[in-house]
Amino acid sequence: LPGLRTPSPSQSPPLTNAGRPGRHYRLPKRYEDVPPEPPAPLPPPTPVPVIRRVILHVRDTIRTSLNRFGLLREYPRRPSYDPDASLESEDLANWDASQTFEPSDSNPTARSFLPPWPFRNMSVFLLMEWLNSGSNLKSVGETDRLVNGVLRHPEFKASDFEGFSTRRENQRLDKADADAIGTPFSGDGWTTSAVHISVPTGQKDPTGTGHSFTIQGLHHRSLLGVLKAALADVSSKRFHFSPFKRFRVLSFGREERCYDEVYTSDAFLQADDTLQKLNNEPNCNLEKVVLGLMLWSDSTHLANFGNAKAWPIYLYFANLSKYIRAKPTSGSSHHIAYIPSVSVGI
Amino acid sequence: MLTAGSQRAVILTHCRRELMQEVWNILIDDEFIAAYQHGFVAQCHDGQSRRFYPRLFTYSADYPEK
Repeated sequence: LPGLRTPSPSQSPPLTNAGRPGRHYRLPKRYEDVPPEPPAPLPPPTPVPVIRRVILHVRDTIRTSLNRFGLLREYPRRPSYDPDASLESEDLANWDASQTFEPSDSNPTARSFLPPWPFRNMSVFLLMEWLNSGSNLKSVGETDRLVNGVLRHPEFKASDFEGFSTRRENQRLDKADADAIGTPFSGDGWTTSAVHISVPTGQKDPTGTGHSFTIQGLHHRSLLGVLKAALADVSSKRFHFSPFKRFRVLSFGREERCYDEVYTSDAFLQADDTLQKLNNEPNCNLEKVVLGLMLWSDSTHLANFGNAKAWPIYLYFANLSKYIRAKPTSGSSHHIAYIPSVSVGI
Repeated sequence: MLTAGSQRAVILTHCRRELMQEVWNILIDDEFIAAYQHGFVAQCHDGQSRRFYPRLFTYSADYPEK
């Protein structure tokens, strides 16, 4: 079994004061901290046999090896992209491995109280001084976001900020938004429409259509525009384009199916299989991918007092892992529409 | 327009259902139906272009007619 450590016999334990061999002390298993681990990588592609050209719908089912938790993936077709191949430990856990406790200086008389005291270095000192001075609108969470998302980004260079002005860069963004026609981000703006419904009036109506009633103020976005913008967004690099089955291998080689994500469900596998058997669009040899939509709507109270209400429709992508999708900070929820209230009009 | 009475709640329920249906009638527009049937091409983060076919898997909602 992986992870089971047996003490090597050559290493004899130290003797106790009484001259007897000491005991092996081991932490109880429940205290053992097992760090998360991404799934095992895909096996390298095998050379494609020539016969594949004649047979339709060839399936080269591939299986990965097990990871330390005994989990493997089985793809009905080889995926063109594996988003889990680049998972880092910080994507799998909330804890930060770099956050280690540092013991305080052992010799208090030799301590210096000059900057960067009490911080580790000048960079931390400068940032903490910025946080605790000036406007008090800077939050701890936003500062963490600045450090982890910007300052520690591999492409961040302090020298890029020569002559930087926030106002000017904002104007540049506004201008780009205004003339960004034809980019993937151009089609997902908000529009306002009126909704026409028919209401029964209780009076005899030979046409049977009832009284037509117009409700103003439906705010909505183009569904396709939102899909295109989401695929152009950086979070799409975590999208699973190919569904697979996840298995857990138990002892004696028994296998148990793990239902953990939408893209490992039978519904997704079935939808993908149906799609792959469809004919390609004319003159198109691109890979066909199921883009799973998950919609959600719920009327929400906007304030603790009063009756300010909104009735939003949200969109999530089933191709994204639930561990990312469910994080409030992941930005994976897309607003589709805000439904107006009926009682406003009637 | 509506007078108070026992019919009011029933008619409002009817209106909310009609509204919800009509909103989806607006949201599922021609370009979405075209994309559903024929897919749409988008460039992905790995530089590859793929043809995406939107499919609905879940719809979670409370009872909007209430």
